[in-house]
Amino acid sequence: MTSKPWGALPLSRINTIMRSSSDAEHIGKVSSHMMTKAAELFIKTLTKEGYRLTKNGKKLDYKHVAEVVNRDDRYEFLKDIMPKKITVAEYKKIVAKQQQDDATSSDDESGSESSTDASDKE
Amino acid sequence: MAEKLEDLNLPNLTVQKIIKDALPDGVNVGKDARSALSRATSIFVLYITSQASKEAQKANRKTLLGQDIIAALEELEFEEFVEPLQVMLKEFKDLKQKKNKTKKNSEGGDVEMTEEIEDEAVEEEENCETHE
Repeated sequence: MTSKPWGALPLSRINTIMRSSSDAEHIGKVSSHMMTKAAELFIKTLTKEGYRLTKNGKKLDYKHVAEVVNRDDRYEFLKDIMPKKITVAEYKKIVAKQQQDDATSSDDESGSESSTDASDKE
Repeated sequence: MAEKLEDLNLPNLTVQKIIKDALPDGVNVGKDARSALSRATSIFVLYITSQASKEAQKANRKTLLGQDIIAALEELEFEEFVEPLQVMLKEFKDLKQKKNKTKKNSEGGDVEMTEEIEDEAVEEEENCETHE
């Protein structure tokens, strides 16, 4: 079926994954072949969609793929395993802001003190 | 029988080659991107298979067939994969028809060509299939 020199994804491996996910008693051979092909198409599609998001077109990075998953609803099932990564600096900002929000939402006057503390913290 | 975690992973080299095939020459791929694509594909297989099983159940079948995969892909918004797979399905059916014809001629027996050639193909192959 395939004319690729490296062969395709291994049928047996795809079969293993299918069997672990299916309640069906038998996985038909034809459906295994089709899933193998579908998996190949999936890799290519996600790769191409990620590539479209690269700015210089020279390198495909994790963030491009994660962005595709984030934008397109049909990839919702992948959201958990492909979170958008943020830098440490961005994370610190988020934490600081959260602490500020928590402090101002409390009725206590000491709230303003703790928010200062929060921004002083690492 | 519990599957080992590695068994659900796809071989890195093959995944890498498929990725490269989808990109213009000379484009690099980050290691994280590559492993994410590989993991995503394993999950994709689980996801589609799960839906395909529901399709088979709806039809009161215990065997997962090619048409279930196609129905699942359509349901889960991967319609663009359907056409190449339908070509594949047709090729399998044609091949099976040829085999059956040859059998009929050589045996001269009553090999019945059922409507669902795929079903027959599946049963035939299920009998000699070794589970890996």
